[in-house]
Amino acid sequence: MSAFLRAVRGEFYLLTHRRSVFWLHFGVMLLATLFVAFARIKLGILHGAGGPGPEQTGAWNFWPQFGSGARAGLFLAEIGIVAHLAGGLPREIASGAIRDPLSRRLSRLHFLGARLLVALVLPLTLLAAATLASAASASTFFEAGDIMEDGQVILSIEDDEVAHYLYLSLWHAVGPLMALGVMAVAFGAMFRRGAVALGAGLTLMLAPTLLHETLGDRAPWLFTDLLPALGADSFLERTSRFAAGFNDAFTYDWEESVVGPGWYSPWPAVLLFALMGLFLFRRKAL
Amino acid sequence: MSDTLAASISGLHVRLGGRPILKGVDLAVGRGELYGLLGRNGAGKTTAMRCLLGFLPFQQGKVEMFGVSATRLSRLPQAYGIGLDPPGMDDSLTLRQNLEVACIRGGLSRQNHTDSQGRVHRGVDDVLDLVGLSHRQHNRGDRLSHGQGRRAAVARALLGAPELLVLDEPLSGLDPEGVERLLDLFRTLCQDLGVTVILSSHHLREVEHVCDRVGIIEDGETLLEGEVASLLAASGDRLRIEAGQADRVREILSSATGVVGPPEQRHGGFEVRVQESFDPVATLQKLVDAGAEVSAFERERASLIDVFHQALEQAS
Repeated sequence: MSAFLRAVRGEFYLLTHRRSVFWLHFGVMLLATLFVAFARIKLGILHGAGGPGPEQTGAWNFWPQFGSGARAGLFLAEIGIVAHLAGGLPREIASGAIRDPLSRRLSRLHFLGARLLVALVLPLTLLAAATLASAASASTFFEAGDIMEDGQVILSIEDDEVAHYLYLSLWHAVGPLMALGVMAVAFGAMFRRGAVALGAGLTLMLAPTLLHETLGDRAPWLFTDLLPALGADSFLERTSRFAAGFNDAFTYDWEESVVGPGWYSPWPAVLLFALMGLFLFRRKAL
Repeated sequence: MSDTLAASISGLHVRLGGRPILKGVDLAVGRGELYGLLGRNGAGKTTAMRCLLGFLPFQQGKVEMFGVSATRLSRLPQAYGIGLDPPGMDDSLTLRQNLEVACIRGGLSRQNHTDSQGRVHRGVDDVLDLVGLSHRQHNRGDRLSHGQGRRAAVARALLGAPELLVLDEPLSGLDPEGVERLLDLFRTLCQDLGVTVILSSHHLREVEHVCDRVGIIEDGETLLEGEVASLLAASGDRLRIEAGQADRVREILSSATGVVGPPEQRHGGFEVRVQESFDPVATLQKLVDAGAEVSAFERERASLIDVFHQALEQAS
């Protein structure tokens, strides 16, 4: 078996056996589930107080709750990715835990390459966890028909492509989430302290939100702007609002100027951070 | 020469943060040897080990393991095991899982097996048993005591069929039974399986009994290196005398054959180093004839502690 394959198998063993990874997935699923459940309770209370009931408001539907629930779970997923990957690696280096793999005929490039591969996979499993939990919860509490308000159909699932856009926005989240994972590993390899790596990751995550005005049209070229939960231009947030009946939630212009670049902008970041992680590793810390 | 050496370091200089850490370390460890690396805290033992394992870049010198440069150890055909300080257990995994992931990364079987060349490859259960941690295999890394962590690191280093073990302070924090168990294990590995073991330690008495050769590092430089038996013989025995008439005793000892250096007054008596040529009967007779009222006359074998202190004294 090649050295890189051994390193990859080792990393996947850690991914499937570390308790922190299990609890992160559990937390993401729980948050997505609870968000949808609380939305149902809130709507029920409002309806009991004379507010709109089923078929009277767009929110009382599977599709918007599915999108919002998934996004709620992804809040924890995004922070968890950075905390786990950026915060964990400096701790592993400081404790000497990565000396052993490097004594088993694995080079640093093998080890970090395998860790970067896991950084591409972890966001996908968390995205799947949030999506599945949200779908299960939303299907338990809500019906999945056309979006209605005051007894009238305001959005057709088929004709207005509500489901299509929600699925598309989840696909759109894949690139930014993967780039986030690779960025977290790169910061973990570069910074001595986990807290500094975590701080750098969170800063870059929140930069597009804090500097949205300054960045203007260039914001979508920074992948963190497109993160499904913490991104200032979250496609999932817009499609969830659209599914709730806000049919002006996104326009053709916005789709063209933000969603369009978003399909490509994370991949140069993936490459850049992968190279940074591989070649700026603090060898003296070993 | 390199064919017979498991590890060699020559003229090693390391600077960290602009500060010289190693200023000329030379070590040569033969295959199948049990080699003790000795030195005070901060002398440079761990740094030398990290350079040997290719973890730390160095500015000057030559560092090789089985004739392969330390910068290319991932290409080394021989397997080697390490146990550095800190032990490097992943606290989020159990001890057993730590060993299993090491097996996966090393391409090793988790079960005991014998390869086509007849070499026994130790699996997870075997190494846990060897270090006496089978009952702790389901404890997470952070639930192990300091000593158990050391033993766990040794267990991980033993996985498979390593030809060289590099162990930094493996005896630190162990109870006497644990020390004895590991030293027996190291001795067996060297004698029966031809495994080379390099260990750093402050347990000089234990090192003296098990190691074939030792190297002493002080302030980033190799002070002394050699076979334990030769170093002890060269160091000479220690003679302790309690007697009256200090001036007469000092005069007789100074003129006796085989006495190294001037006698020193300690604990109400005299201490002096003596070589094999020293004749105790004749010296005692002279002291008695001189009326020195000898109340104690003891000759003690030199220990590695004496060798260590002599080396440090000479260096200072």
